[in-house]
Amino acid sequence: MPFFKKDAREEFLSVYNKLSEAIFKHCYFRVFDRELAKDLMQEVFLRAWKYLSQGNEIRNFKAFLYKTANNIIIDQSKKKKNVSLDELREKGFDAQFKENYLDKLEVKNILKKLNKLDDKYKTVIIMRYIDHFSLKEISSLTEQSENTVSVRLYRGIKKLKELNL
Amino acid sequence: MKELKKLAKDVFLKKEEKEQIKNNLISFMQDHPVRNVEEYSHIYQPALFLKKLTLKPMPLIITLITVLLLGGGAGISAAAESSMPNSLLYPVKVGINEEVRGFFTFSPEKKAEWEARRMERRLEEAEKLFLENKLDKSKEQKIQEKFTERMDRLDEKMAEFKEKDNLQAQTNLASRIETSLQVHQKILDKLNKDKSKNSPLSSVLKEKIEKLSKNQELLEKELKSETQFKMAAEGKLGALENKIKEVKRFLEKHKNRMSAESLKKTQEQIGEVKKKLEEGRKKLEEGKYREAFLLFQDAHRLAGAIKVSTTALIDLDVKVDLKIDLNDLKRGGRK
Repeated sequence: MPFFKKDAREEFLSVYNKLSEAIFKHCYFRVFDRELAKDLMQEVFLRAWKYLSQGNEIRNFKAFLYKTANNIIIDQSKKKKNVSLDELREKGFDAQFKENYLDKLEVKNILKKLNKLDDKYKTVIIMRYIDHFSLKEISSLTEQSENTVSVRLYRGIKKLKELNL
Repeated sequence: MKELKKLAKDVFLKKEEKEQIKNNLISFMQDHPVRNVEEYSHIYQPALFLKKLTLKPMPLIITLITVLLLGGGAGISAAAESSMPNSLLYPVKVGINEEVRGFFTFSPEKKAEWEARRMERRLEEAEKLFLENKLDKSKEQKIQEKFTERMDRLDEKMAEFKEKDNLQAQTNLASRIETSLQVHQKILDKLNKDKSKNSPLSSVLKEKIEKLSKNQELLEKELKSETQFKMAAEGKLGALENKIKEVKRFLEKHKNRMSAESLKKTQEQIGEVKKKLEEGRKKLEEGKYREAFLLFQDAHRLAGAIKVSTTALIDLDVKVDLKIDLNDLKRGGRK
């Protein structure tokens, strides 16, 4: 059984410092609810620590955290169906947006479109364009073949372009 | 996709939010130390020392000072978890550990879930003490006070959901509490029968169940249109699927502490839940949303009851006959 020393806690917190923002972002774009995204991100790290504290090893932290996030989000989405457009209008500015790049209307439109996609397309698009994962990494995280990931990306982007809101 | 990439850059976590979650994580890590770590052994010493002290109730502030002086941390917190009313560490359990855990969560639904769990913990304490003949008047009164506090908090949570028109969260919470109280009432009645004594809290629970039952009826009446029933049914289906997973995980974790017979019976009960799930799915496909919702609701209640009663079965060696209870639980005993 692995023997963890005090600096293992520091290492874990260092992983938190590096990846918490990215995991939060991923969660936000999946659920479009800031408070929930914070909750989910926290849950991801709590579960990771619990897993370690039970004597297990994590070889690839990034993969572990994203897989855990995916599982938690899927569970969460079963509890609550897609956020309605009305709620989305209110929550569209829920994320702390810097005002430099896009105006509010553009933000609203992008979020609306993304929210309309099936989760399988939304997930790969978020992983590609928000999390900046390669096809290979997405394939490993979602446990789908690279070909499937590629097809989902293509179809997801096509659907996004077809959506005229 | 360029816009999406730009948008991604714009979403960020505030520094103080990141720090807050980090602090929550640190507290959690202290509560869940890694096994076989020698560095924690010096913390266990003060906890053991405290257990040997004469147990007298202490105001929370004195307990906190004691904890600080002894340099406790993870050990104190961990030891407090199993403490009972009138023990030195009970204020740490309800006043610190539980408050801190509640503070960890952000979403209103999760906070409400944690409050419901706290309420259940009070009932479990009462049952344990009652079984061991250790429930004197002062402990009973303490538990009753804490239980009432929890119920008041839960009433506030339900009122908040109502104010925000979150009917689904309101019904889910009400249903969860109602089921839990019903099962615990059965447990207390069973213990009462075995001990030939008046069961503590039983009349308090009865009153709460009746109140919740009436509220549930009113809530269900608010679902009028087919669209509302469809949404409610779909939401309930999701909650039910998660509940089944939760119960299965719980069973997997505790099956070694159950007899073969009780394990078999529990698995049969889960089978009944799944049967209702499938029936509900068919109704959903047929567009019979109200019927689907009611089936999912019943199944969800039963699944919740299975977990509560299995916990009792394991910890207290009390068997709650769910076969009989199903009719009571169905729509909260309403006819």
